[in-house]
Amino acid sequence: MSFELILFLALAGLAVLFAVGMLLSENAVHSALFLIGNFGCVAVLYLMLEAPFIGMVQIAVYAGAIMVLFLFVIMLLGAEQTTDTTRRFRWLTGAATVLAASFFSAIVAPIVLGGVVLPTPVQQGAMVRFVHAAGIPNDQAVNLTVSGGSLSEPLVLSDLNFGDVSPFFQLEAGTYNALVQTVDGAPVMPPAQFRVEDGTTGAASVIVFGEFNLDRGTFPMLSLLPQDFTPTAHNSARVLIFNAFGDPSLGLADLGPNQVVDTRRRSALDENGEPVVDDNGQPVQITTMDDPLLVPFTGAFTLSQPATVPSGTSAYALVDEQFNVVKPLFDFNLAQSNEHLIIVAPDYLQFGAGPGRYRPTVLRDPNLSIQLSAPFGSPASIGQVLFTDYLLPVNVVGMLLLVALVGVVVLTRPDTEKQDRRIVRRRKVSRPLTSVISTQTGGSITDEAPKLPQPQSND
Amino acid sequence: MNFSVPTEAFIVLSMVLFVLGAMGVMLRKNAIIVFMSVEMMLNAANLAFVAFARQWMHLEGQVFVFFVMTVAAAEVAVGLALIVAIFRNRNSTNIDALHQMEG
Repeated sequence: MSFELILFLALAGLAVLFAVGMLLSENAVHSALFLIGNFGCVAVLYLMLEAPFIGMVQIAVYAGAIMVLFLFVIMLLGAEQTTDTTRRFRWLTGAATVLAASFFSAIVAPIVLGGVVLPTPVQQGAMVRFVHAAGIPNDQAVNLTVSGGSLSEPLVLSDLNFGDVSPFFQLEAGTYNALVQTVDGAPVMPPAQFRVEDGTTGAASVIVFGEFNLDRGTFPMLSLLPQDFTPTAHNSARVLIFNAFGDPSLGLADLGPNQVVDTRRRSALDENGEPVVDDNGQPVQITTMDDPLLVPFTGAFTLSQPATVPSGTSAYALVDEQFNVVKPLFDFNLAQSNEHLIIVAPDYLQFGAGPGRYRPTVLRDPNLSIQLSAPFGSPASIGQVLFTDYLLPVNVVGMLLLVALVGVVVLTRPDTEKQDRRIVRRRKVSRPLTSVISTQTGGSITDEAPKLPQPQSND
Repeated sequence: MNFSVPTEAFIVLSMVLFVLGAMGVMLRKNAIIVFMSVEMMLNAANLAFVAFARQWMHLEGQVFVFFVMTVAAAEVAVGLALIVAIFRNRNSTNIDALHQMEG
């Protein structure tokens, strides 16, 4: 039994106890306090359900605002004692219990007996994009033709230059054939295949890489690099390296402000902390790097494991296992909450006449770094949904709150009409009084008396 | 996807709270307690919403909880104002005493 299950059972039991306490309490203030406890338990359950924003709103709005309003009204009215003294509707108790029990069992019985199977969502197909990272003499553009799978007609990406990244395409699960040709129609590589699977692939980059070299008989290859694009923590970025250049193995190091690799020679230590000695009894010296290695060394034509690194702009470098800088990446920005795919590809260079040669280069297409969505259930993600897809409902709910505010003011306003009537009645009563006073004092007051309407009854 | 606490457990808890709230609405005579029971039913529905939102990894469930909370806040404000107005007239919050509208 896991810790979370124990926590759930404890909170669920507590919530039900609070609910029963609220129902059975004779004092309305105790009922309100029990309900606050119930809401607090449910708020913690929201935290367990990956809904931290809803949990916090539950505390602030329900336990904070609404229940304070309840307590305020209870104390304002002085209606704490809620003993049900009426003898009417006694039959309702049994009827309500039967109704509630049958409703409860109708929904819970299938769940408990296992009749309800909640299917887990499986992502259908994958988002796939295509990257041209193959070294082709004279940097020729290529046409990429994808067919097979669920495609009714082939997907043709024409005129892809070296380093180009296509938009994402939604592909169903299946096996696809890819054909890469130069824009002249000459084949660059043998027909290749890649496979998209439901649920496991998600999002992927299909990359054409390798050198086209007739002399050495090497042709580009095609590979599918799965990427997950799940959210990262704040102030961090995720980096993957695909080493499409070949040897040597490459790692990503953060060189820091001095922009050079800081290495240090020291004696090798075995796992017991003892110095390692060679056959001649001399201590073995190894070289270590002081700069942090953000992405571990990645061999030829392999994709590194995703590494979560601190975001920011710094002097990074791709280093080989002897800590030589293969490709400096000065002023390189690893933007926060982005997933960066660093592709090291052979770039064809030609100096003067004669055959050219390849040197490693890092593809700089901005689409290779993708902004990741905010974590599920976080305030940022909910705000994003509320203010894009649900902007109209948000405004309607805001209007509703405004109408409720006005309604409350109208409902609780003192009854002014009744007061007016009371004033009129008092004047009617006072008229005979003035006439009585005027008749008793006489004189000038009786002169003013005819201005007033004469009272009906003068006795 | 495997959760350490299955979604079904949250649904059962949500049903328990909902039925308790419904019994409160049907059995209690005090209007304020009835109102609190309605709040508990809304809360139980919210719990089911959030549980299903996690099951399907869809944010819409949590967005609807947000709307339900907003509507509940408006409803409580108006409802309590009504209770105060009725109490001012009849000096009681017993809902059995309020039967002017019976046919």
